[in-house]
Amino acid sequence: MTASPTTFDAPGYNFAYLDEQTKRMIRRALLKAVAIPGYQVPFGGREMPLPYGWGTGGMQLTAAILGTDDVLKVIDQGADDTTNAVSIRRFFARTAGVATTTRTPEATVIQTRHRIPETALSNDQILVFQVPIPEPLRFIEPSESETRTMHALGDYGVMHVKLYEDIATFGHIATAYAYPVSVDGRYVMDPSPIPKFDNPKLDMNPALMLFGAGREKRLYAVPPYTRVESLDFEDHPFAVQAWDEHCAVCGSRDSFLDELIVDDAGGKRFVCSDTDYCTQRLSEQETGR
Amino acid sequence: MGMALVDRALRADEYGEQVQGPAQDEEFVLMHCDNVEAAGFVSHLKLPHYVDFQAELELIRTLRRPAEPQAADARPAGADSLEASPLDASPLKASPLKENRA
Repeated sequence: MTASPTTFDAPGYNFAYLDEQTKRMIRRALLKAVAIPGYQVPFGGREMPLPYGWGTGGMQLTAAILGTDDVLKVIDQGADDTTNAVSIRRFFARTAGVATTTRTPEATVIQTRHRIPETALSNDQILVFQVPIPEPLRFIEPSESETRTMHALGDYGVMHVKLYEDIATFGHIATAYAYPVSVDGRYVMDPSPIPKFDNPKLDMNPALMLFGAGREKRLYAVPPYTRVESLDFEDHPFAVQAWDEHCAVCGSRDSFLDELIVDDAGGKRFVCSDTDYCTQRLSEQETGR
Repeated sequence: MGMALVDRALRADEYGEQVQGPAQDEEFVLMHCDNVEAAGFVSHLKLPHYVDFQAELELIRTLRRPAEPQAADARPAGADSLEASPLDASPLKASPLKENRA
């Protein structure tokens, strides 16, 4: 134990939990994913010490790309202080000994569940998404061999039919999150359950975006500065959510707001879902005064 | 209990039933269950989902919005439709035809 040359305090574990061969295998899959934007690459998913659905895919990707100099930030639904985010951040602090942060601009690797940070990312950052269902066509076509053929042939008519049926039934495209996108004009991709509010941030983003699905053992990627278009129709263009209210804490009018019921009478408050963005704005306002 | 249901669903062929759901598709079931933990998708629902719910909430409000002015337009047309909400308008109650006859 004392002979361990490493600085992290999890003896008996390899750096960042996974063994080197597994990490190598995931990196190879990642290279393929980056080379074919939006294509779902199968990988040999390992069992992680937490249940599927809690970020096993994202964690394996993070483990594979993490280096000793990296600064890790983990968010869950935009927040740094929720159970999932705190646990994963502590997991990598212990097994890899990496520095962690809650500030978006300081992080080099950001693992996220269901949000893209409001603060613009730079081209030296990597965003890792936790993905529950990687296949955007799954709800239309349950067979994996069928969907793989559909992807291969670029046969995405059914997706447009689905969106059209929404318009015919409801007058709107009734998809509020996990809104399907077309990556680099080729593959239709599920951007993981981010609200469609975040979809425009995928387009031409300077950061590398990696998506990992642990249960389904699939990973895919959107390389930096890649065109990502949300599927829509000329007469029903894609539009993001907008609020009449502003954040009750920092006053932001252009961030994704969560609605909180604050009393028994149904009183509401709206606050930023991105806690770091909110805190940063607040401290700017305080120092500005 | 869940596994029993899946097991029964997979025997559709044996019982001469039509295969129509994903649980009856061997390939689909294997892909989702061939690992140590077939704990189920349900466990992740313990995690917070307020961002998704907020997005859905916004969508539901958008869908309702155009319906309201339409309903308001419809009201002046028939005086008795003021009381009858569209949900409890049974074919017997909604009686513009009857009244015309009377």
